[in-house]
Amino acid sequence: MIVDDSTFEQIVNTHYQSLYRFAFSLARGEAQACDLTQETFRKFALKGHQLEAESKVKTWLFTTLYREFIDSRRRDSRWEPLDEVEVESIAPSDQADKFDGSLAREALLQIDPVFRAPLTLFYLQDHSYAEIAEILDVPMGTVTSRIARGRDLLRELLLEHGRPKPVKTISGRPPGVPVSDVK
Amino acid sequence: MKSSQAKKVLEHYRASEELNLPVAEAIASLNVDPALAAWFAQTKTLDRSMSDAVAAIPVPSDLKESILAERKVIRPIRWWNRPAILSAAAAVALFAIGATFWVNRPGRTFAEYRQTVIEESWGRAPHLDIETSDLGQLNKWLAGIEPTATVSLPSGLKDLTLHGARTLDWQGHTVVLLCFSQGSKHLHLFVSNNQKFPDLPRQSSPDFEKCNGWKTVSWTQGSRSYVLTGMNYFTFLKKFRHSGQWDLAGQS
Repeated sequence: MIVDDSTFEQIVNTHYQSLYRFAFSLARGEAQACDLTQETFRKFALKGHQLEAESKVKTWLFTTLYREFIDSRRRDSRWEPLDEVEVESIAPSDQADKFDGSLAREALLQIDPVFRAPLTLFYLQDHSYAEIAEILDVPMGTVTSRIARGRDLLRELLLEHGRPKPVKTISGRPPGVPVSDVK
Repeated sequence: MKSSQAKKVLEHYRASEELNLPVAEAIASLNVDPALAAWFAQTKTLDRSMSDAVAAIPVPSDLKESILAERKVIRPIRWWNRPAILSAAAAVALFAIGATFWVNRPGRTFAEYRQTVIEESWGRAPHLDIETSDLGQLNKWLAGIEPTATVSLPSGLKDLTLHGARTLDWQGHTVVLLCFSQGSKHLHLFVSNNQKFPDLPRQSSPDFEKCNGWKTVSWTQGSRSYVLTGMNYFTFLKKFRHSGQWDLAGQS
């Protein structure tokens, strides 16, 4: 496909917000989320013309962003200790049983990225299960089971515990089990 | 359909999708199974809340502008980034010429320089020859090694914490490595003087490249070339681009 300035801008307009939101759910802050989004479009500016059709752009962008996140995590772990994510208490007790927007978002951010990534894509409401599988490079069955498990973890946080204390990332997988083994 | 089967089907059903037979049966079960209906209503409430929450994640107002600004400074796509057929044709045509020059090539490109200094800088521990947060003191130390090696920093780097420096040698040229931090970020700036490279970054316009997994930003200012690692591109743009102009000039 031909990516001239106006096509590029149109593609940025269409996707940058969803991409940023996906990046924000994966990353450790606004700066990293911006950087992931920006790096994704930088790659698109260089390689976008290699895509056969505009219909492939969305999945390509999200796939590229996810791979960039995985790469950056690997790279960061070489040089600086990866602090476990610590999130502030997510709601006052009198709001614990409400689905407040920030409460829901904080709950999402407490879940292990293995579940958070497919859940966020699912909740962006712009991707089919097949697309999510393609973006994350896992079988579709794995996507459905991770979304189901992730949803259970969200329920636990939002409904059962009511008011989670500052906690480390909830992995939802047994200690010592690598990400690749989680279905 | 059993309740557990219906749950499994409905768990992944989205209203926007076409109804198929299992979904239609599962939806019909909702009318005769109050527990299933309650579970389904709760799941949909959760999904709606989560979708709203994700959609409400605020997007920085200057992100789009930064993306579009970076697009303008990305170098034109080189021939090896063009479609395969063009590349193959160009490669065949250039092969004979290239082979002649390859044997006698000088072996000095900015890309090679950048890769070498980055590899060297991260490979040694401790990686600094002098530890100081005082740029004046650091420049005195550098002047003692080579008078032209003293450095001045662009204003975008002034708020970083300086930790020290070391010098490296690249084919007879002194390269100064400055080590900074900002929060948990560890950054390196390489400064060299009077280097002649065919692929030197353009004057006052940064070049964003990935090198050995590291994000780098390189630029040339006067006779000096700079390579920065460890800073997010977005942060770089925020610090160094003001009112559509790059602000890369060094200040003492």
